[in-house]
Order: sequence, then C-alpha cells, then structure tokens
Amino acid sequence: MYYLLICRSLTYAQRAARVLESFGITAIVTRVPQTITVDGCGYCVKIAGRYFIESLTVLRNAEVYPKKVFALYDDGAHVEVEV
Amino acid sequence: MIYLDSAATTLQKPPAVAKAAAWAVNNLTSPGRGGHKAAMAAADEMFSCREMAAGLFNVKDPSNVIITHSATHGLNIAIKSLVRPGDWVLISGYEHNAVTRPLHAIGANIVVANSELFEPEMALHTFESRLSGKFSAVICNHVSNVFGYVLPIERIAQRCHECGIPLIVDLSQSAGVLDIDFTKLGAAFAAMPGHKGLYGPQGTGFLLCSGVPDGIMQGGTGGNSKSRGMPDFLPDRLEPGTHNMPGIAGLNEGLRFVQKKGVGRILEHERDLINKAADRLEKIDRITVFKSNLRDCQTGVLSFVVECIPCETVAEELARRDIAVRAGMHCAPMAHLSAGTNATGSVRISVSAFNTSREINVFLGAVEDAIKGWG
Repeated sequence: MYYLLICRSLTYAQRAARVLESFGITAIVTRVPQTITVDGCGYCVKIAGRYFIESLTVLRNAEVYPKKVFALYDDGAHVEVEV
Repeated sequence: MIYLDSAATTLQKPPAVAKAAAWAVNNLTSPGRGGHKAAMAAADEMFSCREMAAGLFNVKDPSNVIITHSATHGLNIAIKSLVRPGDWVLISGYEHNAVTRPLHAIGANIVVANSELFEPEMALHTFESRLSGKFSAVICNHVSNVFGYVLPIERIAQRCHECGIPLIVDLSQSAGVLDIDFTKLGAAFAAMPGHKGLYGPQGTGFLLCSGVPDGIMQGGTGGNSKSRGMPDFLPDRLEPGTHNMPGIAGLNEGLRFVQKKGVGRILEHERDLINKAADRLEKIDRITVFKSNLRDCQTGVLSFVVECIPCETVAEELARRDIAVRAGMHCAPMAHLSAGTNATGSVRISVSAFNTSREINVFLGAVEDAIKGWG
C-alpha cells in the first residue's frame, strides 16, 4: 500500500520529497493519476504506507502541506484520506 | 584573447558549464510535462538549480526562486507587478535601461536619488531625504555596471522597510561577487542574470520574490491544466512555457563553481586585479580613472576615459590587439549623467574569477603603447 501526497505544483512536490528524504523516508515525485486529479495535470509524492504517519509529521514540521492525500491500494483503488 | 568584459557576459566559464548544457540538449526535456525519465530528470535538474540559488542568496523556499531569461526579464516582472501608470517611483542615479525603460513605458513618475560617484553616505542620505509615502516602489542596483560602484543597498533596504515601500534590487553586477542575503535584505524582489557572475550560459537568470506578483506572460505550466487562469502560486505563476534546460543545467554548474570557490575569494581576486589596473592607469598622462578610495566601494569593474580620444577608438585599438573591453554608455546613460561622463561615455574593463595578473599587465602595456601612438 502506498500514499499519494498531492502537491500544488511540481516544485512543491520536489520540496516535499527533499524534506522527506532528509529524514530517510523514500519519496518519489510522480504524476497524479488522472482519475484522482480534479484541476488537470499535477504531481504528487508517493510514499510507502509504513512511512505515512511519520511523513505527515515531518512535512508539518517543515511547513510543507500537501493539497490532498490519497491511499493507493495494491489493486489500484484509491481513497482520499482526511488529514 | 584577453577578455575584460565580464560585466556584460563572463566568457570564460568552468568547463562543467558547457558540458552540462550539451548533455541537457540530448538528455533533458521539459520539467512538469510528463512523468517519463527525461522529463523527471529535467525536473530534478531545475529543482537543484533553484535549491542552489536559494542557498546562495538565503531564500527560505526554493519556490520563490523564479528562473528567468535574464535580469531584464526579472526586472520587467517585478516592475510591472508593482508600478502602474502615474505611480511615483524612486530610483538611484546609477540604474540601467533595464529599469528605466520599463518605467518610461508604464508612464511612471520617476524621481532620481542623485548622488556623486563612490559616495555611499551621500547616496543613503539622498534616498532618506526623498523617501515618502507617495512612492509605489524604490528601485536600486547593488553595483553600477559602469563603475563597479557598490551602493549601500542594505541600509537603503532598511529605510524602505521602515517606510513600508517595496524595494526592487538589481543584482546584475553583484550576484556571485558580493554576499547577498535576500531574507535579511527584506526586498520585494531581486533580479539577476545567470550569465555574468554566476557563470551560467546566456538566456538564464533569477528573480527572487518575497510575494506572488502578477506575471507578464500566460501559458502552459504543466499543472492545473483545467484552470483558465495562471496558477496563484510560485514558481508556476511566473514560468509559463518550456524552460531553457541547457541554460539551466549550465547555470547549475556555474552556481556550484561560485559556491565551491566562495563569493569572498572571487571578490578579493577581482578587486586585486582592478586595483592593479587602476593604480597603473592613473599614472598614464591623459587618462582619467574612476576608482574609489574605499576598497569596499568598488567591485571588479573599472571605467576610464582618455583625453581627446573617443572611447570607441580606444576599445577598437584594444580589440585589434585581441583585448576585449567595452566602450560607450553601457546601456546606463543615467550612471554617466551622475558621474559626469555623459558626453564621453567610458572605456570599461571588468574581470572575472578567471582573469590573471598577467592579463592585466598585457592590457596595461597595450594601453600605454596605444597612448604613445596617438601622440
């Protein structure tokens, strides 16, 4: 299971990934699936489920806030997560 | 060739700059325009460039580092976001046409804080005496492109801050040469080119932003595609269209060079060369040299005039000897008005981290020889 941290811009996603990586959390900047996005193309940060809670804490401390968060299940289904 | 025109463009670059630019041509596409390897590699390169610049100029959020085509591009964005027709704007007496022409085009009321060359206290006093609530913006360059004159920008910024007037700083001649702390400066905007003291290729630059200005261009940004308007956040709002990735990759290497070598070391090297040139030029009959008595007041840029010999003639003679200098107004007629050289223009030499003492000796020998030839 993965989580997708949807960011307002590519640069913001890169900044979020850099912060996470500085704490040893593997973070991959990737495209937002069109089935998720509502305002056109965008980028998000993909993290493994086991790092989810830690990631939110790390980002909040760095004042980096994802626009939305989705849980991405192994079968491809995704569900928005309230944070 | 002995190249002494780095205030226009540094010609000698770290070898990694050209290598990176050439590599980018064949390996990087458009950041934000895909999730494939070449697009993501371009995104990584561009973000790295933003981060490097944010670190060098102390900008907290790399998103506030806008990649532009030039300092002129950045200045146009900054000026056109703050100044409307009929607004009052206070500028220094040493501004480049990149500042004055946009202001004239807008129809702004320009007040010039005139002060004599190499008189920073007078410059500060003039700004202080003119500053008032009627101004929509203050614009000041950090270093004159004609004379290398370092204006007291930190103290001018402080006065602007106290008066609540946004400040736009032109860092064209100081980026990569003087320590610049954008956060501490508290300016609204700071613009700079990539192809001078940052040793990047032409067609690159940065605009540092403290807020989110209106852009001067609209277009695709790779994100928020369904919105009719431009994104309301940086850097996307100000960066529509495909980026100059070869330029950005080269600039990234230029920034690495500056960071590794150190701004302070580069400055001291350039000052040593310019002082050496100035000291010997002053001893030559018929030459007037514009040199500050205060070492901190001048960077690696020096202007001089030769009595009765047009500056273009001097530059042509030096070019014939394979020495590159610049002559004329240097796109800054206002600076010449302030310094009293409006009628003649000047010959300008400007050095970089790659110039050597031997090159200055050859240049000085050539000037002495040319003067003898003119009788």
